[in-house]
Amino acid sequence: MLEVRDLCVQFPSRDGPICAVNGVSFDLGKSEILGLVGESGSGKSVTGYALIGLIDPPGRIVSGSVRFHGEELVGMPEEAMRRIRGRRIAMVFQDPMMTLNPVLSIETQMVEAVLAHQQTTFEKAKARAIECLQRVGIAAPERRLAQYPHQFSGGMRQRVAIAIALLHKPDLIIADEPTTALDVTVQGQILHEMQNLVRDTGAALIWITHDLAVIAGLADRVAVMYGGRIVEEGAVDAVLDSPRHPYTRGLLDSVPAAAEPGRPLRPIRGMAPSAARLPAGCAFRARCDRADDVCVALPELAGGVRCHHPLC
Amino acid sequence: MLALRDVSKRFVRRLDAVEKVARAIGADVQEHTVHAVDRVSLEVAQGEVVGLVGESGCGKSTLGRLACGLHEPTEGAVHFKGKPVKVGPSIQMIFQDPFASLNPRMRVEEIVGEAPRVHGFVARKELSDYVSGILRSVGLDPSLARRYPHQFSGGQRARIGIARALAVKPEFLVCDEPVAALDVSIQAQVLNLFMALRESLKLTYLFISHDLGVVRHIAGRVVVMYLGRVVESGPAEELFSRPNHPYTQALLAELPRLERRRRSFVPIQGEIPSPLAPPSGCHFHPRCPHAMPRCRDEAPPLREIAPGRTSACHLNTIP
Repeated sequence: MLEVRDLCVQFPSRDGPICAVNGVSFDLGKSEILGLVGESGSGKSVTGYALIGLIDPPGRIVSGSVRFHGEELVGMPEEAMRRIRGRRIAMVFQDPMMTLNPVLSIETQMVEAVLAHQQTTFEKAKARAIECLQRVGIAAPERRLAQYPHQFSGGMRQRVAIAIALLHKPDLIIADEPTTALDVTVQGQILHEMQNLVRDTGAALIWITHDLAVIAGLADRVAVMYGGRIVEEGAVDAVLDSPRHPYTRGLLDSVPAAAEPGRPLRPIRGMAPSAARLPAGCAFRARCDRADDVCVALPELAGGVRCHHPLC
Repeated sequence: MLALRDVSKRFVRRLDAVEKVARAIGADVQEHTVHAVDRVSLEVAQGEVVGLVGESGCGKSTLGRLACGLHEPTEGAVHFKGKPVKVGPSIQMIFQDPFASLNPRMRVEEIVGEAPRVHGFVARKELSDYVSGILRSVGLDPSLARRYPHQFSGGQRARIGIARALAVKPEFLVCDEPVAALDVSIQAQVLNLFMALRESLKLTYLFISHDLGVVRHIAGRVVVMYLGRVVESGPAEELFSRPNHPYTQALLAELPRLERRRRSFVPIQGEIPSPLAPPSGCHFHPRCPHAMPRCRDEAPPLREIAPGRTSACHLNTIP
C-alpha cells in the first residue's frame, strides 16, 4: 500500500544543507502497524511529515519516492495532495492543539473537516462526527460536540484529534508521539483504542515514538532510526529479542524497566551527533564498541541491518 | 532523617477584583481550593532512596517542595534530622527542566560556584579548582566551565543541575523528575550517575518520577500517590511484584514493557479527576473495578498490610 524509497529531506543552513532524513526506504501493508523508533534528532518525525508533504520550506524532499496505492506523492501538486491528506492519509500529532483550533467548538471543527472532503449535508457530517467521537471512547459525544478544546483534558483532546483523523476512514494513519505527553493510564486507553481501530477498519498505522516498550506492545514491525537513516528494521520480536545493530542493543540496554534493579545500566556512551555534523560513514561509529576502520564507509542496509559488524 | 507528619498543603486561588464585584452583586463565584497534598506522612531514613510515584496532579512535586522547605505546609510538620526543615545547603532539589532552572546568563562556573562561595564552603581563590572537581564528579569536562547553559545538550544540562546541587555538600537530594526530559540512552547515563554519587557521597534521595521503570530501578522503597494522598507504600521489589492497591495494580498493568508483545491493552476506565473537585470517599472509587458503596462515603485510612507495607483500601479490611 505504501512504498517509500530512498527518501531524503534537507534543510538549508549557514553551513550547507542538513540531511534530516537520508535514504529512508520501507513498505507498509494494509492493517499493518509499523513502529518508527529513534531518539531526538534521529529524523523519525521529519520522515512522518515528509510522507504527507508537510515539510515546510525552506526544507524540502530532495530525492526519493513515496508511492501510496501506486500513486507518487513526492512532487505532487499541492491541490492534489490536499485531496489525499486528511482523507486517505491522516496525521495525529504529539500536541493535539496542532490539530485543534482553540476558538472553534469541536462541532464546527469536525463538521468543517468532513465537508472539506465530502459533499454531504450538515446533519450527516455531524452524525459522522458523533460516530467517530464514540469510536475513540468519548462519553456523551452529542454534549461534548458543543464544547471548546479548553474544556477537555489532555487525554480527551488527543482522543478528539484522533477522532478527526478517523472522519474519512483513512487507509493510513501517521501518529507522531501521540501519547508521550499523557499519563500512563490514559496512554493505555489510547493505545487500546488505536489497536481496535486498526483491527476494525484495516487502516495501516505508522507509530513514531522514542519508547521501545510502547512499540513492543503495539507494533508488528519496527524500524530504528539513527542520524537520519534506518539502521535496523524487522519484525518486532526479532528486533527486540535479538537486535543486530549495536545501537538497537544499546537502546534496549538503556531501558531501566528491563534491567535488574539497582545495577548500573549499560548506556550508550557519548551522545547523538547533531544532524548538522554527522560523521561520514556509519553515523554511530563514534559511540560504538565494534567500530573500526571499515566503518568510515557507509554500510548498506542488508538483511534488515545497516552495519559492517552486526551482532548475530 | 526526613520526617513528614500529617502534612497538608492547600492552594487557594483568591478572587480577582472583577470576581469580587461580581460576588458583591450576588453572582455565584467562589474561591477555589486545591488540596495538593492531603495529610501525608512519610519518613526517609539515612542512605535510603525513596521513590515517589504518581500521575500528573497527584501532588508529588508539591510534596517534594514541602520536603525541602520550599513550601510551608498548611498543616502538619516537616522535620529534617529532628529539627523543622529549613531551606539550606543540606537539602538540595534537582529539577526536571534544566532550561528553566539554570540561569541562561550565568556561566557554568558561576552557576555551580555561586552557592559554595556565598555559604563560605571555599575561599574565593580556591573556587575554580573546587568547581572543576565538582564538574568532574558529574562527568563534565572542567574546560567547559566558562560556557553558558544553552551551549550544552540536554544530558549535560541535567549534569550541571546535579553539579549545582552537589556543590554545597548536601546530605539529602529531592530529585523532581530529573530524567524525564532525556532520551533513553542519555537517561541511562544520568541514572547511573545518580546511583554512583549515592555510593560515593553517602547521599539520601527522595526521587520523584512518573516513570515506574525508573523508580523500580533506583528506589529501595516506593510511595504511590493519587490525588494528594498516599495510597500505597512498601519495598520496591514487593510493591512491584505484588501491588496491593487497585490503583497501583492498574498503573503496573498499563505500563508498557519490552517483553509484552502485541498485547491487548485493557485500560482502566476514566481519567484522573480534577484536584479542584476530587471524588468523595476514596478518591479512586469512580475508576476502581472493585469499588463498593462504602468507598464512596468513607476514605480508607492507610493501614499496615505487611511489615513495612501500607495500603489505603477498604478491600484489606474485608474479613
